[in-house]
Amino acid sequence: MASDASADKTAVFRKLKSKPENKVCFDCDAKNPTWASVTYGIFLCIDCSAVHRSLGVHISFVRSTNLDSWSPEQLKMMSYGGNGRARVFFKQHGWIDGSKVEAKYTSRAADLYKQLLSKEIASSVVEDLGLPESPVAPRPAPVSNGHVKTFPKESFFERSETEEVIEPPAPKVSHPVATYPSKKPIGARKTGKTGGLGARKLTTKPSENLYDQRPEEPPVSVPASTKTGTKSATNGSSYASRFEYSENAPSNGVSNGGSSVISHVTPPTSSDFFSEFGMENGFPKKASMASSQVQETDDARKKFSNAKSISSAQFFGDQNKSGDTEAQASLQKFSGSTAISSSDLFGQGSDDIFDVSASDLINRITFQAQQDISSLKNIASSLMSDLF
Amino acid sequence: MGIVFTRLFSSLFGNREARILVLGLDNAGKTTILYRMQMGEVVSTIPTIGFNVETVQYNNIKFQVWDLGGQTSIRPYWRCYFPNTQAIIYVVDSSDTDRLVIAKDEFHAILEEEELKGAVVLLFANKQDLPGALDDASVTEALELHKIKSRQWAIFKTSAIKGEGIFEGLDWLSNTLKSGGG
Repeated sequence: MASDASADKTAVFRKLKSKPENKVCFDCDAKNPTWASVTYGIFLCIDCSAVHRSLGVHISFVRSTNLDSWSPEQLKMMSYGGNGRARVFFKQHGWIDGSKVEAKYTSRAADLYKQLLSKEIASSVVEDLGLPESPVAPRPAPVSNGHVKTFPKESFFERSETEEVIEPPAPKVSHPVATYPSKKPIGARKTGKTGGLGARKLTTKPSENLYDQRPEEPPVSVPASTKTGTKSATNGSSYASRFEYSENAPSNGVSNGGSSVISHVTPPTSSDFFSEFGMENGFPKKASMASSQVQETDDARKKFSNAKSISSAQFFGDQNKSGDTEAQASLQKFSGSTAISSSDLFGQGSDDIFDVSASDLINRITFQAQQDISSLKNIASSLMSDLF
Repeated sequence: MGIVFTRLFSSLFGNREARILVLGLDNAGKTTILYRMQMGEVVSTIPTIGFNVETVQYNNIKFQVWDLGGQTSIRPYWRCYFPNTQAIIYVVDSSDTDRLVIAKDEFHAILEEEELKGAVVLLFANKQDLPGALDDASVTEALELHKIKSRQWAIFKTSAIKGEGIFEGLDWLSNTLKSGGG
């Protein structure tokens, strides 16, 4: 199966990369791009892929054409998309080549193109499921403005399924498909089946001038590198290795809830759990603790909502505890905590050894005291009975 | 002269060394985290083909940090770096919710490795600065961390771009390593 997939991948990319448009990076025209943004179905060089990666997967999902594995859907995105089609689309929306990459891919045009592609893929998947051999090829391709050629969009997959022939790349697109022998070469006006589509001008695009805006500069959240300059880390002293960190973020894990994203979410604050175990004072660093019986896994999310970290120790509590339900339950102990280390739970840290043993001690003392009191009572009552 | 004293000092008080692997799916932020730790700066990175290795001195521990490329077909080569590793830093792109399943599978495959049985695991739920990023509790669930019972782990919310959470993680790591874990 894996070899199947990789064979598919190789075949698809050999095919796609034989198109001249895909032989250069979409963003910078570097030759032989080996990276791709699946989101837009475009081929990129490694340097431009870096920019795309930095935008996050919600903007652009980058894969290597030769180092990554590709799902059939992702391959479809590439064969439906392609550099040529994307270039036409972006140009129609006022984005010239070489404009600022971040702005370009966070623009409305980019969003539209993304949706257009994924919609096509989704519908093609449905078709594939419904009518197995359906060769309904031509997708609503953006109509060319004359200066850039658009190819009729036949799906690579459908073609290869119906024909079982890998054609030489040279006579692109104009090869006859068995069921549609009358398909014309690219330069020709679309006829027959494709006629309706050819008449339409990009169905999903409502109005040309609406999106004709020039590349404005939308606020792109790429923070400038927070260079703080102090290079003391390497100057000999073995203690100077905290870098500039303390300037950027609170170094102390305690109670800096302000910096955590969801700090306003307060966890449930019923605190029976610890009092049950006589551990009210057990974990001095925790901002707050909440507990309740939790069975569902969803609760972990709520319970840890304020935590900056979660560790094995917090999760499992005492080592002799076992069982998933207990593990789930122990999750909640640490909700609201800001920085918890495993030693907190295993009692390895010196603080915690002290705390745990202290609470133990208190428990024992109270127990002892109760026993003493009861025995005193006994003695007193026997004395009383002796006296009277 | 100063160098002599430094050497003397470190030989007296035992500067410990630890070999750390930074692993994770492609584009999780491994390289950015490595250089954030090493230089305290955000560098612009390109996809790592192969590896980066840097020495990071922190809390009296000299970390030899190996950042390995995360692309699908080069993940099998991670195992070449497994021997003598004290700790794994596993980086997850918290905003890449679609691939959390893959991240989980890779992670648990790593945990199965015989050569990493003794390694402690530090997880970074990275890219907290991006919209839609899951928090550490959600990542904990998605990665099924509750199934790890035989080793010490901790997960931290980080943003390598903003520099948040990374050194809290290193604090935990150095404390755990000093106290004999891993």
